[in-house]
Amino acid sequence: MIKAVNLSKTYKMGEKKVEAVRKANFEVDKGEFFVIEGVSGSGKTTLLYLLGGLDRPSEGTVEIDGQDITRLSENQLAKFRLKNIGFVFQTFNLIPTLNARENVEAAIVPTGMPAAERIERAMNLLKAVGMENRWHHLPGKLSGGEQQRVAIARALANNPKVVLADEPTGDLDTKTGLKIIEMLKELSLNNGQTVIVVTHAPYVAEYATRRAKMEDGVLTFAD
Amino acid sequence: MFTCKYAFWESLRRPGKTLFVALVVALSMLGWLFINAYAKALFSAHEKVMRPLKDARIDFLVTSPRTDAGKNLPAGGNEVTFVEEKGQITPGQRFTKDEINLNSLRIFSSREMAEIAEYPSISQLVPALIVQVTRTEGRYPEKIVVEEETVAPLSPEEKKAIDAKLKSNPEYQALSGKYAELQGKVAANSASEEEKKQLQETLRKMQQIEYSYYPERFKKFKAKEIKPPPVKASQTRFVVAGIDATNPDFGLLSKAEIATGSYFSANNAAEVILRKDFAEEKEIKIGDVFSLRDKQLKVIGFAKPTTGLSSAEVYLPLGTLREVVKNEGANVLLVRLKGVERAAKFKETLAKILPDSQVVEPQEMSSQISGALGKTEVLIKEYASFLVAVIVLASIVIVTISLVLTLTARRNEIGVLKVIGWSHFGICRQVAAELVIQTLFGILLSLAVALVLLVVVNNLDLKLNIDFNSVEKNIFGSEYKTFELFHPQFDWVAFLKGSLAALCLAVTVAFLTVSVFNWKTPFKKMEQRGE
Ligand SMILES: Nc1ncnc2c1ncn2[C@@H]1O[C@H](COP(=O)(O)OP(=O)(O)OP(=O)(O)O)[C@@H](O)[C@H]1O
Ligand SMILES: [Mg+2]
Repeated sequence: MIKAVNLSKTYKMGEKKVEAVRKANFEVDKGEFFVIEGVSGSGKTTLLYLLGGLDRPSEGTVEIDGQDITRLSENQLAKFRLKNIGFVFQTFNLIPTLNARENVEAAIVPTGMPAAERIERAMNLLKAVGMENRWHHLPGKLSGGEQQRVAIARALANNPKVVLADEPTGDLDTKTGLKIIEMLKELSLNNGQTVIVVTHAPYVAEYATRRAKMEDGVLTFAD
Repeated sequence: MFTCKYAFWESLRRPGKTLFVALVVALSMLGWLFINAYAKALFSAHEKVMRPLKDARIDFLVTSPRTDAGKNLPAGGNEVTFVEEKGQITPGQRFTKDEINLNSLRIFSSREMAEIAEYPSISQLVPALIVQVTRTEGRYPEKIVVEEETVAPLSPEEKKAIDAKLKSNPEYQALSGKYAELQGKVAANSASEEEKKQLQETLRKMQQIEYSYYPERFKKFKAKEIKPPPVKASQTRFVVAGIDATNPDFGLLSKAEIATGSYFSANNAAEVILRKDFAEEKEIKIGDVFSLRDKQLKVIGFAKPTTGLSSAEVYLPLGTLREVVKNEGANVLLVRLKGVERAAKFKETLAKILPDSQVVEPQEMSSQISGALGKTEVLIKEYASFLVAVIVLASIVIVTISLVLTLTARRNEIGVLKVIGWSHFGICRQVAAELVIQTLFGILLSLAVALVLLVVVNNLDLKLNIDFNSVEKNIFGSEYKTFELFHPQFDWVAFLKGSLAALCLAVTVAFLTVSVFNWKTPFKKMEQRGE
């Protein structure tokens, strides 16, 4: 499903070179719940962005479903992300002027789906995360956990093959965090989605089908 | 449309920014509308001046100024005497006195006329006579009373008393003796010049003494001035043009310029055509009698001169006017040539025949005035265009800067849109939609302000004065001097053009700005912000 070969990313800060990701080689299968742990600054976010095509590697390739995404243009990448990848962020990143349903809709808009169908789909997605009764609320009126649920609904809007979550529980208390992780796990089980979660939180690892640790840009598997 | 909904909420979310962009757009729009209203007013002024001149259909209008005593004029036919009416004053009678003057134009001599008529390129030569009438109208008083104070003559008793006093006055007696002596000498023709003077002097002194003995009533008496009877009268002035009725399509007043009624039937008909406004002011109707001096004329029509060649209020057939003023001359010549290219040659010849002539060329004048107006128009349009360009450019820069600032503040949001699969075009379209909404607010604002300003400006009644110094006074009436400074109607075409341009610019600015500031890795930044 996901295949990284010799994946490296080096940032140049003047004279200094920061090797954020060093020669990562791994494969993630369909339906896996893959958890990456690591201390701050170890290169987790960088790796996730490389996998999602938000950043280009200095070296190596990323293949998703047999497609080398490092060869795609910006616009092709945008289209590819639309169909194949859903993102969940630590800070939720909902659009503040749009209500919950519209935030989900925003992710469907680029597919050109007719408005009525789009609204129905957005409502179904909100139902799946238990937010259907709060669809008309603006993000500012929602709690962190509620916002993250909307964000997950948005990430799943176009039924992507891969969901990339960067510390989805980072801004939440343990109880809410657990609920979010459970939700992600359940959704991946129901839809057969591949989920890669980056986290500091130890309780997340318990849900993993596979675990890896990031240290100074080097990815090592636990087992 | 999702984009519109999103853009609308976004514009409401940042009301300060929306208002700012709207104000900048409104300012540009108002500048544009202002310039257009000004240019349009100039253009209609232009048309107003050009039309009559274009309609004139003559090549030259020749006149000569009057000079003192006719010294510099060629001999023959230049002495003009108009017969003055000298009536007897009858108490209580109405009177009308027309004083006819030649104004500032002299009469051409028959020799001059013949010489000009000989010029081979002339296709038509029409004479006209323009005179100025000062009409005094009024009524003599019913009674003319001249009060005279009378003094009762001396009674015999008074005479006796005076004689007695004189006899007892030694000075008087001495003077009396001297007078008798001198008188004798004068009678004998032996008096010297000195003695003749003395005789006068003696008599004067004697009279003085005698008068001092007269009763008081004689001393009070003073000879009273006899004033002419007060007459209530009003004076009006008008210009009378005698026009060649045998040329109804050409001249100071053509048949086409008759608004109501008919044109002259013959060149010596007792008929008159009045300028419409003059007739209305004097409350004269068609069929009325209008008299000039002692000539009774029938009002047959009202004219609305469109050529601007004459400012006369009263038009008579040339023959009739000549009869009234008792002069067979002409002081205006209207000339049409066989070809325009011969104009320069004709002017040369004319300068030889009539060295003092003044030539007005409607075509030339029209091009002069249109040139002057055109220059103003071009000047204003150039300056104005420059001004508008500066305003528009400044607006674009300001709007772009404010857009960059907002986009920077919204990097996170833009990044999210990219992450969830929005294309570059989709993001451009989104930003464009927001700017279009803000621009629309600006356009509406400018419309409201412009409509209010228009009412204010129309109430102020701003006028543009153009002084035609070089143009003869009688060619242009005063109505051709003032023009509206701003076009009084709202210019919807300019408004729509401006609005369209503003919207197009908004879209362009949005697309260019988003493209130039293509945030490549906003995702990284936004995550780090969160940490
Ligand atoms: N755009 C960038 N330019 C330069 N250096 C960068 C950039 N992004 C990340 N880095 C560096 O790369 C290294 C890895 O960063 P990264 O954000 O991937 O770490 P992380 O594991 O996600 O940390 P955290 O747990 O704090 O989110 C860090 O040393 C960071 O300073
Ligand atoms: Mg990170």
